[in-house]
Amino acid sequence: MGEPLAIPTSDAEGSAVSADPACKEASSDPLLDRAIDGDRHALGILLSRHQKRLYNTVLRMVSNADDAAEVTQEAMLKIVQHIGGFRRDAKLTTWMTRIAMNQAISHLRKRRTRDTVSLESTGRGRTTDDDQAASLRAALADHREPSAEHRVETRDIAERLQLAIDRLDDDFKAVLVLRDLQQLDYAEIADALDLKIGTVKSRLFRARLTVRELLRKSET
Amino acid sequence: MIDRHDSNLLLDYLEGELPDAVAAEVESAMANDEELRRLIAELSADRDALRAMPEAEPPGELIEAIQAQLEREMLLGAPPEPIPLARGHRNTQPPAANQPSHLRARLMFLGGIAALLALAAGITLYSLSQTTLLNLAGSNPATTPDSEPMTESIAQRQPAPDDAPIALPDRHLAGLDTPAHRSRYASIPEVSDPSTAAWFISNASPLGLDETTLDDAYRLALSPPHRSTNLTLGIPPAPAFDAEFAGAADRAFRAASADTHPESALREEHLLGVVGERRFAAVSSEASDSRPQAANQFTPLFEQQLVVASRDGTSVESELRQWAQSNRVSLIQIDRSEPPAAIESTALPVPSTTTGWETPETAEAALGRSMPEPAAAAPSVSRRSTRAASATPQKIVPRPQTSAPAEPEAAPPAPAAPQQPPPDAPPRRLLLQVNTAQLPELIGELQSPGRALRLQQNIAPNRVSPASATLDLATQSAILTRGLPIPQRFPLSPAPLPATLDQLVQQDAVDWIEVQIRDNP
Repeated sequence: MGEPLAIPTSDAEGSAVSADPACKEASSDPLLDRAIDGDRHALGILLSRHQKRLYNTVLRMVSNADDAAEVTQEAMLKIVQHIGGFRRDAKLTTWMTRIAMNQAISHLRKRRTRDTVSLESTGRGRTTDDDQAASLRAALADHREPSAEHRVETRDIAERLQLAIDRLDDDFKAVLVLRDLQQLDYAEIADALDLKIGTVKSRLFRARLTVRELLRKSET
Repeated sequence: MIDRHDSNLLLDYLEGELPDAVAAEVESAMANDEELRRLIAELSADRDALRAMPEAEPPGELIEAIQAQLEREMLLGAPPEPIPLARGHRNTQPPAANQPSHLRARLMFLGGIAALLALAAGITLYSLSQTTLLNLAGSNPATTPDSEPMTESIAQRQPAPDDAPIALPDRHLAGLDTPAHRSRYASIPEVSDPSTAAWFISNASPLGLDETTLDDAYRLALSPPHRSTNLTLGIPPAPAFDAEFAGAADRAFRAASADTHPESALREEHLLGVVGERRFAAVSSEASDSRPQAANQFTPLFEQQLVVASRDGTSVESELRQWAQSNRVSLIQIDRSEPPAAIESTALPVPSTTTGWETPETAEAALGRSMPEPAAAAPSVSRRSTRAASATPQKIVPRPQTSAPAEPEAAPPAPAAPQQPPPDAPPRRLLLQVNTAQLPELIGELQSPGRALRLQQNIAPNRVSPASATLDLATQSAILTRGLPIPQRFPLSPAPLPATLDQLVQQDAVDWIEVQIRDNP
């Protein structure tokens, strides 16, 4: 066991969290090595670095701060339980994100009280080339220009965006959250969600169209 | 000329992933296409707005709770457990506002630990000499052994993490027991391609597909060189084993699901489907939806990750397709191979007579309830023949000739006198009354690996309906010699009972164990 490390009691590295914790996970990160080897102090530091990112990922998925805190805690405990099995062939960030996403999606599917936008009517869940093209055609055919008076302040836009995200199907929401809010690239999203890149792109575009449609409705 | 309906092209443009030349083509098209220009502008604005959404600060108690759990694990070796977090005010108060109460709880916890350590230290010190005590009292507090070495020494005693690498037997890769199956599956590229997925194909008894076995297989699937998060499990169907297949597959996939393996893409909704009264374990690969979906089209064997455990796949093919569509499973694989000869059908009928342990009257008295009327008198043949005679026409496996325990060291005290019923007596029954909530526990206890009982009817843990199930005790008597305890916490009939089921067997006291599920006794 190595030298004990102090566990920060608060997000002392908040800026690093926001920047990109992944940049800290070099292939020879001794902190990660120690965490994998069972050093709970080191693991505590790693978790404190990643907690903000994980919390925000979950928060965007479950859209409730209380639920997000609980789901994030569950995800972090899973990380604690399974860090010993973490394989270095994957990025720690991606691995943690996958766990958090699994927890969030499980939570959402248990909750299931929220209305979701019926993607089924145009191909729920399984987007096919045909229905995606149909949605795209419909989006292109909509001639309504959003008027200036319908533009609202940034805060309201954020709220409406979150509402639109909430109404997405979980699978689509996950892709959108990881892409736009966590700013992962396609490969990382594919890895985190265990999808093919083609699926990621398909869902992402589909999610964007759906969000646009929902925002249009909310604007009018 | 670009296709304005090419979603991939438009997405790549939005995401800035297009080569300059292609991007210029898109922009050229946008210049001449107002609708396209508007859509791209809107989507781009939405994306920018999404990316500009403010990040929230996690509540301070979140990392506090995790750290408290880590400390608890280090000090006590106890597994981490979720700590209830305060709810309802995170959006209105800064994280710091939540800290005092949690810190109090944490301090109380740490105080408790400190008190325990102090008590231990006090006992130790009390055993030392007065001189030593004085020397210790005069030492520099800063150099007094404090929690650091204590923590380290305790931490060194931590058990190895659950996920420590484990040795995986080769059989999990190709558990094909018969040449026919081996040759069949060997022709499938995925079987021999280590880069796609791990395979676990077994035509052994589905009762062998326990959590541990499948957990091993899943660990293997996760490990290099496979590095897969999908487990492909081929389960040959076998008549009379549908319930067991479904139950085994259900348990297996639960074992492979995110609850056990947080990396797993398998989720509960992938695990078990129900078509009518039939149960199917199925899992689909999310990768499948990148393909154009051809409804009702069966793709080649094992092209995607999906398992169907079915007793009679042929007769439910259309139902399966329907179910698959409604459950977003795009591929159904129905394995019509013959069940391995090694698996004997042990389908036994529910006895038409419900005579209780000794007599209906005593059973009724013991239960304090009415018993069903006995059926017509059984033929005057041996007791085993009676059971067969009461059966619907199904294959019956004869009771093993040897009921002696395979592991005599576990044998309980010999009974004073075996209760030998008259030759023409109807089958005797041990009745366990449970409610639906208790059933999974009971089934889990009776069906745990190595001491399995066969369920006569289709009852899988967590998926039960009020009904009766009959456990065939007789054909599993050899297994029952392992000292399976009788679950005394369940109401039993009649009482008193031997301590273990194998005592029952040795006493030859019962032919059937019937589980009655009564939610409203």
